[in-house]
Amino acid sequence: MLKSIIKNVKIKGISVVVPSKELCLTDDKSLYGGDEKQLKRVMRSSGFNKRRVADENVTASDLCVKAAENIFADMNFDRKNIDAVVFVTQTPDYHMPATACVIQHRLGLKESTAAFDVNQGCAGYAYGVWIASMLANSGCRYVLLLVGDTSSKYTDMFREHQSAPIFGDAGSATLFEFDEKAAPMYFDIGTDGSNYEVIMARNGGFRNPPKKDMFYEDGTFKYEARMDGLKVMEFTLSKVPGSIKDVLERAGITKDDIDFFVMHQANKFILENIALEADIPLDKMPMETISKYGNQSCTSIPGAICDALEEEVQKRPLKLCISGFGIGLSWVSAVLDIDRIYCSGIRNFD
Amino acid sequence: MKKEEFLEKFIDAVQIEEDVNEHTDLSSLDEWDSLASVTVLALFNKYLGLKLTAQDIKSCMTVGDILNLGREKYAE
Repeated sequence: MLKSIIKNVKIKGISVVVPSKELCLTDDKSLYGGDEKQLKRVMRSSGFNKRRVADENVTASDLCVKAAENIFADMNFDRKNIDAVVFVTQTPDYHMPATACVIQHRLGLKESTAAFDVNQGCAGYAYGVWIASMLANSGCRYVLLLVGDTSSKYTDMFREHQSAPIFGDAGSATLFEFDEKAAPMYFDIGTDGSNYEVIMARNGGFRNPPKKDMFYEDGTFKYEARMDGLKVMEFTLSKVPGSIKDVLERAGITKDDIDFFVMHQANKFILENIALEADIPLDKMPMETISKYGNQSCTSIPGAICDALEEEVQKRPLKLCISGFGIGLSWVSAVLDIDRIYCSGIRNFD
Repeated sequence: MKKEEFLEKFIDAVQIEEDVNEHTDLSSLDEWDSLASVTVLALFNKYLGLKLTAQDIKSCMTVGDILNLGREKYAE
């Protein structure tokens, strides 16, 4: 896999924002045809229970802008210092322009700011860390990485199936700074585009543009969003443990040197199996966020950091291994040193 | 692990409440759904060290077909 080392960059702070509207799986009596026993079985294995859902008029960029404002206010950081803003999402505001350009204006960032979007999902945060770090080491002093999704809006993923809605909406902001004293970041990156159909929303782009028959009677668009859970599991077990081992080897360390393994919070079952396969102690792998916030898509890694490690990351230096994996199919694992960074925890949007 | 022990792991992990044997049709089980098949994929990896594909699991019709996937790994 692609190996990458980036020097001279450190993470300064992380903030995560979620909508205040909370739904529980048990609230919806129609799931699994009303079979409560089946629902309980799924909840036990997957760890899903509560999740946050954005209102119709709230987008991922709204959540991310609020997270960025948390960073500026709480860190007393002058936004005029930002040289680049990168927005990672699969739920942008528009087909065009890039939502990052709209965000540049909304946040009041200076005109000499680079702004662009990246279409990545489950691997999106780790991808974003890689891209933002490269920018920070290439002439941008401060880089703002915004990673967020309102995946709950892909409603038809669950509408026509007997499966449970698992996605929670969330937005994050992470601030990077050029610093010659920073420890190197190590990355392991891979793509299996032959399996692009394993997780996808088929309609609404230019391969399958909107047509009359792509709407439900209530006017909701049929994205034809689908996920083949079995193939995702096959992919995860075959790629992710190896990617974690490779990035640790590249960094010249062992799993014992890592304080926390922060994985994409796909579901409890997948995380337990990654831990088993990669021989990672469960107490080093936070996974409580799933039951409280659902699968937060690209935001799940900062979500887990802000939920489970809010105090830890502020009070002592930590060596983290993060790994994002899923849609694409894509995977990125990284070893990062963070040293007493700002962390907002998970805050409500409204 | 013996085949009989793996069957017990299968019943336990998929949380099957009915009586099952090798001839039981998977489609007859209330619990046989996508989560169950994901669970089985993980079970083979965990207990028998077998990396199966999604297609291996999808091609199974009976409990016996599932058990047969591990035939080269069971202890006597």
